[in-house]
Amino acid sequence: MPALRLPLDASRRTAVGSVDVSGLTPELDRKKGRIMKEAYRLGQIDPVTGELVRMRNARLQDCHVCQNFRDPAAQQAGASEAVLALVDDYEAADLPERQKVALRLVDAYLTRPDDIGDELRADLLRHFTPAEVVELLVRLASTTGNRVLRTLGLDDDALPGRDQLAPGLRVP
Amino acid sequence: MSWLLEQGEARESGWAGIAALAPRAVGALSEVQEEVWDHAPPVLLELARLRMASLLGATWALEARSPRAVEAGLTEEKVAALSSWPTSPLFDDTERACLDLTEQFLIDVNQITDAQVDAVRERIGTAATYAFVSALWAFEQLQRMSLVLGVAPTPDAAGLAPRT
Repeated sequence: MPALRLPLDASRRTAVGSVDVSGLTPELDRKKGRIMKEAYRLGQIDPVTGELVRMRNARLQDCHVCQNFRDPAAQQAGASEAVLALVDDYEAADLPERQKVALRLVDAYLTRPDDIGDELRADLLRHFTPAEVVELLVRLASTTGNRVLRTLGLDDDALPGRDQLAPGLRVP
Repeated sequence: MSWLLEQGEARESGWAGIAALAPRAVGALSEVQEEVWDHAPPVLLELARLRMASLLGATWALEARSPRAVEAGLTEEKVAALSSWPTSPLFDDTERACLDLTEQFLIDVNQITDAQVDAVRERIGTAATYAFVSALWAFEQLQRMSLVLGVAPTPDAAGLAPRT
């Protein structure tokens, strides 16, 4: 876990546990935050699928803030700890095909965006509307903001009770 | 036209067709693309954006130029030498520090070192470093999204339109 890499007060934390950066570039942060608000406002992706997508990205980035956070709506809809734990080996898991396709999109987006393949494209069109695919992509774009946290050591210090991500799962 | 729009009833093709599916959300993404240029040196941002485009294979992003970076002195000679930034005499220490961080950001953020961030922060300051890394994230996401969708954003959507 990297130490804080900017001269900020590490004891000042946001509601989700990251170091408070307010005051550095407030207008930029406001606009960054709007991406997530607008993506979730679309609301076409069911909460469990959305939470699995968010958690898959969190695991791949090894973002502690994201792994510690839980979406209450997703929890109510069935995204239990046991379900969320399936994201690491989702292909072998007992998950609906729609959710597996969404998770394949996460992996393709993060590892080979220039070559996602005809099969995944066809699966996406089969299981999601075009608007839903765009929602998934904007959600992904938003949640990968954790890369800024990881780079600058703004992430949460602790990852209580959860296994560390296997090195092989790291995003290349 | 993006594969996503081919089988639907989209009234618009290209990026406009994508944006029409989620105007506010895609618009918010574009707002950040525009905003980042106000918070860090444009030439550094453009070098990072172009290097990222080269590594990701985002042709549209590689062919585009930020008007603000060109205004600030970015030359095509330097762009052409971008892949040899570690040794080319065209790049100064600040540019090298930023490009080093850019490449590691793209490859694996978890392997970024304190020294890599310090090298940028000592040269451009804390707020600009935060903005620079935020810009890396913003550029990367737009490029990844466009690659997945197989469609190039308009200059407006990419924050690369001339200022009016």
